[in-house]
Amino acid sequence: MPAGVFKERYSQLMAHLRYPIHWAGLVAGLALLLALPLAGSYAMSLAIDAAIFFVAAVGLAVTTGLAGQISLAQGALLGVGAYTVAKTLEFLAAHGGVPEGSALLLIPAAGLVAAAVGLLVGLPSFKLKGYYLAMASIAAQAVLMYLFQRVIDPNQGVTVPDKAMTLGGLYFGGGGAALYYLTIGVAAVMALVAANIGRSSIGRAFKAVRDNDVSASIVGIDVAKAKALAFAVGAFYAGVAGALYALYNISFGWDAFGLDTSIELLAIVLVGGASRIIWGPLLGVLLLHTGWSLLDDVVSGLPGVGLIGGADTVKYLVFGLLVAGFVVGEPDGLVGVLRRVKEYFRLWPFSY
Amino acid sequence: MSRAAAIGAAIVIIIIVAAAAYMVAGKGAASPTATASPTAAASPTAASPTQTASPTQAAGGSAASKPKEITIPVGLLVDLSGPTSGVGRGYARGAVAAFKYFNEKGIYTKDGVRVKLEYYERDYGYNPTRAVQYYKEFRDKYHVYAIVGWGTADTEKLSTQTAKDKILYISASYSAVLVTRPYNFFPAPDYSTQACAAVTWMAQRKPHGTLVLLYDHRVEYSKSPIPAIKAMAKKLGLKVYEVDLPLAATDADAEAAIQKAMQYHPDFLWCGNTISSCSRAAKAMAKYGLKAVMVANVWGFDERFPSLAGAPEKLANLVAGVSPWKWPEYMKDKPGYRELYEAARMLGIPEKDVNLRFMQGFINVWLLVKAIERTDSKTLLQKKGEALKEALESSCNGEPIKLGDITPPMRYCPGNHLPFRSSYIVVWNGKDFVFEGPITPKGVDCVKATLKASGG
Repeated sequence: MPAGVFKERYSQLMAHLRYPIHWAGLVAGLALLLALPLAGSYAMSLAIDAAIFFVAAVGLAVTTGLAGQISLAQGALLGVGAYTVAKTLEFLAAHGGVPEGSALLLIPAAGLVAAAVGLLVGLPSFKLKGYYLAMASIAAQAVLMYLFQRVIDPNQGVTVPDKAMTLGGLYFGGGGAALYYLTIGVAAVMALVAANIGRSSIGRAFKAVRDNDVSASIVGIDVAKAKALAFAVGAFYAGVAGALYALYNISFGWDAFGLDTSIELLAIVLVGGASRIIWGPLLGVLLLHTGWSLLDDVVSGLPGVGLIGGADTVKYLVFGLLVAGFVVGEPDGLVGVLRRVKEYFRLWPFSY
Repeated sequence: MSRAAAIGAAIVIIIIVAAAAYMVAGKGAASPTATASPTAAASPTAASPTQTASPTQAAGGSAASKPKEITIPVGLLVDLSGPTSGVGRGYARGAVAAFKYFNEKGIYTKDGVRVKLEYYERDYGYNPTRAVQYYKEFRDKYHVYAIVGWGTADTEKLSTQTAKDKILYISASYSAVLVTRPYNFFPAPDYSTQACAAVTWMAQRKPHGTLVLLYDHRVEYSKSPIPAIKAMAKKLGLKVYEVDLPLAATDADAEAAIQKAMQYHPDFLWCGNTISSCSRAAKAMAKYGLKAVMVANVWGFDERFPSLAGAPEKLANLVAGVSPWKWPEYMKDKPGYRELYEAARMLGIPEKDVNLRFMQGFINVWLLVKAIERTDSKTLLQKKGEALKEALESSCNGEPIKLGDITPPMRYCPGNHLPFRSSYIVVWNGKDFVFEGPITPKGVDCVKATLKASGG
């Protein structure tokens, strides 16, 4: 146990892995992730799904947790990413054919398109704060949804062609091992970038805007630029997640990108802990998304669930209670709970 | 929070993680009561790992010796809580009854091996995203051979995937798009062919009439037959207008839609939604005294329609529905229908619940049973869903499939899973339902008209 500050260089101070336990955790975590395909295809499906939502939630954590700009349009931005991939491929298929593996190249493109849309979604934040901004983002969500329903995907279903998802003999569609490693890899890189955004000058500007935008502007931070950037970064993450979503589901429709998805993502960030942009979404996704998928099997089987509106009703009740409970009792979310548990065990058994 | 609370939270989290790990391993999948029950295969959410594993063991280990009994997992995807639950509950009840009935009666392959169906029921609330989630669960966790499914949007969306995974998919959606999909089957003409029969019937009643199409412009099921209706109406000289009526319509929505429709002075209305929406439209028709004849899609009209619409006398000869089959109540002693009542008696389901919806669920499972009966145990274990598909497609040039007198002899051909083309128009005459037809639409290829419009 270190009993003092032993860091001699700046890079040591700022390293992500500072203590032996970090290294041990990294090795164990990596081993677990690499070995997960052995647990079967269902476990892999769950993990891919979780990783996709994790990426989208990290983006929302940057927008909402780091920069304090509440957004309920993340679900629609996920859709922007997914439709960018599907529609571009549709266009390519109609004009000369789909190159092999092109869906993979479209992942960053989907992020960029979503970031551009996210900038627009974030425009009201220059003028609005708090509840009003939340309302404006719901409006953006509704507008995007309308576009999906009426213009982009009136048939409620697009399909990513197989050829676009095949590269070098590996098939990246559905829920196989190739897509699993790709998703986990993308999620890891995105998480690392987000962690560094939080430590950079941009991140500090975000935090200043979050804490008090008037003071931030007094110390010389361009508040409008910071807010716009926060939305764009968050949307970029949603777009990348959306592209992965398209690969994972192969066929999808606009129903997946509704307000309920946005609320679920916000719930994930709030319950997980908005103060930590990696650990919060990770814990939130595991509890609310994957946990729910597992619980769902049990809940749907219970008699009488259909009468009260199906498993979804139970889901929203549980979600609502969790979010309300965490906002009131533990604003730091699961991260806060875990931190206290850690503090307790650090001093255990001689706590006081 | 105090120290105790922190420990408590830690314990809860550890339990959640442990439970999650346990479930991912596929051991605690079902509700605990189901695993305890001795008749696991017949209980709704049964999942005992030893049984699910048995076919795969038999397939790998002893290809030469014939297994005594095979248990095959089947997914059942239904809507008990969503906007189509008004018809979905009856369908689910019929499908569950069929699973139990045929398990009890015994399903035998061509070479005499008994097959038990172990089914997993999931309510997806008419939400295609959830359907995809459950599909992944069916495929990856239970390794199902076949799925008995529900809606149009989800079935169409999954059809690419089921073809790839070689899982037989029997749906309650009779969308024309599914006719060409290799692994999708249903024991009925597709929506477009049914709707064309309705348009033919209208033109026979009044040539060159005006037809207003009431349907939800956002729902795939409601939109599915519209291009075919337009093509048929053009051929037969009917004028066509469209009005949006939500699938989850309120009385106010229905009244607004009917008022809008009345501007066109229609002779006929087509209602392309399900019964709760269509019966509300009929109610509004009675309220405003619109004297047009409404013909509803197969899911928009059944035994309950007159009472749901209120005013049963006022609507005499003004409301009708398409149905590919005669309804059980009118055919009680006929072969096929007898099985429905036998199953209901066996399971203690009241006779009045044996209705069109019950039958639709029942015959979908029956089609699966027919597929098993047309294959042999070895092929079934080796090729799984593909064996079932081939068994059904063997009817193309071989002996046709008959579900008693419920359907005419059905033939499924590779690339064209349209088993027959005739439908009845069921008219409410104020006291009873009258079956007119069967009508087979002629002159327009209705399946093609829809496929062309959907770009497939």
